[in-house]
Amino acid sequence: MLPDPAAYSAAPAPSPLNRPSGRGLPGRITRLRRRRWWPYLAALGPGIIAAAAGNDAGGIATYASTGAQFGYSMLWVMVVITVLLILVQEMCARMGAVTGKGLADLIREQFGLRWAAFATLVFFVANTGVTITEFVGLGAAAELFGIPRWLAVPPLAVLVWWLVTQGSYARVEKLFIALSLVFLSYVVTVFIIQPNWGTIGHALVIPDLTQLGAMGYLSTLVALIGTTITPYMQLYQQASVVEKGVTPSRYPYERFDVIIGGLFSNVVSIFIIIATAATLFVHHQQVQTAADAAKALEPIAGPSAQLLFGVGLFGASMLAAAVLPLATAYAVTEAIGLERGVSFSFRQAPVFMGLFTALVALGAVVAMIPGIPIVALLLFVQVVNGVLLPVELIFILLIANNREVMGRYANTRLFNGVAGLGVAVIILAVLGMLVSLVLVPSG
Amino acid sequence: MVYLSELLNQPVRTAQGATRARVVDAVVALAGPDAADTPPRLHGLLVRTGWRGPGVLVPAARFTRLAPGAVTVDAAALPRDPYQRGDRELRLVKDLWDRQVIDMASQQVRRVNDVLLGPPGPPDLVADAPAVSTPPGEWVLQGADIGVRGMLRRLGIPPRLARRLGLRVAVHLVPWAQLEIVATGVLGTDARHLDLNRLHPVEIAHLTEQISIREAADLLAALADTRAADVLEELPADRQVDLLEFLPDTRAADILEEMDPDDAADLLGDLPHTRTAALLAQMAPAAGDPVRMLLHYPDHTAGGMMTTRFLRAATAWSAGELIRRLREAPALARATLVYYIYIVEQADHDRLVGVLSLRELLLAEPTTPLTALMAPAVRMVTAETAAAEVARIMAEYNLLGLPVVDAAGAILGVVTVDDALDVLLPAGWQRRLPRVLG
Repeated sequence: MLPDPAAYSAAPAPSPLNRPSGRGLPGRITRLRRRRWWPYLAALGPGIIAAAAGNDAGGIATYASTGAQFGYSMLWVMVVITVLLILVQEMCARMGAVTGKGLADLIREQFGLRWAAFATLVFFVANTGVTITEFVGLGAAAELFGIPRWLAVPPLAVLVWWLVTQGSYARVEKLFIALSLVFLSYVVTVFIIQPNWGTIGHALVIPDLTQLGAMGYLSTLVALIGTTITPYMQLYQQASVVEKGVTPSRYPYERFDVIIGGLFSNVVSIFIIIATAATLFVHHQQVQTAADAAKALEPIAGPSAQLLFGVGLFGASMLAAAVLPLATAYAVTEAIGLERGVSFSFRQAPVFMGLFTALVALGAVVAMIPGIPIVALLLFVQVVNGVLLPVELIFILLIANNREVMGRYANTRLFNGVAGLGVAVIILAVLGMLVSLVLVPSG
Repeated sequence: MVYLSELLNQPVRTAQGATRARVVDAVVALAGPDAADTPPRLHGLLVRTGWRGPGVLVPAARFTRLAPGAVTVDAAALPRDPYQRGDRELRLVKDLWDRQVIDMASQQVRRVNDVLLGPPGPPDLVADAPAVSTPPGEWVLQGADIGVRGMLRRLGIPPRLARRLGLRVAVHLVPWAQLEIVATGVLGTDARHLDLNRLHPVEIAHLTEQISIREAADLLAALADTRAADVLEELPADRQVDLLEFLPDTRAADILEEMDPDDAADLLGDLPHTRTAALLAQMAPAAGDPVRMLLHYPDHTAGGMMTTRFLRAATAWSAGELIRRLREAPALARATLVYYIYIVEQADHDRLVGVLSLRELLLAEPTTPLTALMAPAVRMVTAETAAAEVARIMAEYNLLGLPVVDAAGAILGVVTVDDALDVLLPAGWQRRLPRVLG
């Protein structure tokens, strides 16, 4: 449409909407009618990528040490956690599609500023912890290649900061995703080892509570929960649904993506547990360093297992080391209502840039502290995540049940039953762990 | 005057001392539609003794004092009946706090952090103002605090602390006359009092990007048809489709009638077929028929790019006659392209025979016949011509418009230069992966 300046009182300003108009859609044929399965495929993208990139340093550490310490006895727990993950992510996606708003905005509108501030604080603490683990992961990866941490981490931190603020991160993102797919080699390893599939199947389906009293069981349980159902993923899921402009009518395709993404990422996690269980647990070897976790890849890579693992760890950590601090900075500044965006300078968006830089710096500093028990630190952060998780879950459950907000898309009674039960179990696990820590200080 | 956050949870005092009732909300009454810019009058405060229920409404006139720590009523007994919302009544905590509003001065969407109540008149921001002499019964909603200071006040954080962190802590008060609530909820159009039609379409389009799709559709529905059409045309195609999903058929049809036929056809083509048919049925034939015609052409062809709103003239006319007809007919006001006028042979189904520029028309003697003025060698394309070829021709010959003809040479429509630009710029598929990095 050719603009006719005289029609408007003021001269038109340059459009802030720098998206190309009109022509991106495939012509007159409607998207929905094109092919029955096409929309499902199109929706699949983000889930798969998030799944592939979801196994970061903290995840690998948790799954590897679970397999090494408890063998197959926690596999059934992973199945339960997977179901819970899918339920939670589905609620977030549904809320995003129905309301068109992000999780933080919904919490604020329904519960007020104080609760929203609390939720943001919880999110901030959890994310800061995970950010630190990513840089610790970078340090560990460097050491697998023989480079000392104090030498490798600062330039990598600067690189991450620079890539993001220069806006060229999107280009290298694909490279890091490709690198992190190395962890799929855990799946291959399992098939090479030829474990007893009957035993595994049994462990997946039949609950095994014999180890409940064992030392570290409860904290491992909470760590598994915290690393699989990260608080970050809920905000991300809802935000991505809103960003894509998913409306209730197109939601079924999105739901498919959520389910597939959750299944895919947890299948990989389960294979990591099986791999370390079959290689390390049988020899009573614990996972205390990155090299230990790499040992489980020896069936596939032989002496190069450490290098292979290091490559994957590097890719996964670089990916998350950029995304986490950025997402946190966005969340906090959006909650307060300040300027945000990587294209701004420090003076234009001081809080946003300051927060992002501070988080990267903090991660780098902690990663360089000599003598920290890497795996123990990674596990600790996941436990913290697990403890903080119920807070977010309660908010999500309350909003997803609110008929004023969700209309006819509010939770069904069956859904509430299962999800509510799951949240209750998580809270019980967290409380049990905290109590046992108090009663048995060395726990 | 006082901020709502300073009144909340305060115990209600009577002459006998503090009761167990606490303030939980405030209710204001919106002015009538004819006095839209008048700030809403404070109707009363909702107080509650227990934890459940909305509370009871104590009318504003019953309060002798409204200040932090001193919420005093004149009578001993409080009303008993639970509050029920009346006409044009707005609950401040439930419906305004933490909700999005449009600040007309900056044309931004912001969230309400706090609300200022006080006597009518310009808000007096002098802190520690002396006790007001106006009784609370006459108070109004002066404005919304959208600044960081309001947020700190809500959280109970002293401003000194925030100043140390470098945050700007000035009060940012938006007066009622500049405020428009985004989510009108139960109040519906009653809550709208500003004329959003005053804003430029690009600004309105930008606003819609900051609120949810449902609320954006609401906003669009509140605009005049022509303005809504302009706004819609400024938005990306996928956003247009999303918004249309939330507009009722009658409203959507009205807006589509005002849009350029080729933009309307693009939009309708992206909708589910049942909806497209329903909307076409609702549109007036004068607007619907060109759109129906354009829908037959695939995207990425000249037929898919062209518009039907162009200027045409008969070979028999003179320059003066053409100018006279242009002034009388509505075609000039609605034409997308005015710089070229296409001369057609009316007896031969409007076969295109020449083109005339507006400059030549204005410079010509009124008696000159158009056939003498026009350029007979017109660049034209058929409807099946590929979009890239159309763009190439327009670029090569520096054309603002390229006519599209059928097999017999009759003019069907005109491709305008902005649509050709869309082809030339690297648009491609818009990848729908979430923009994690903002």
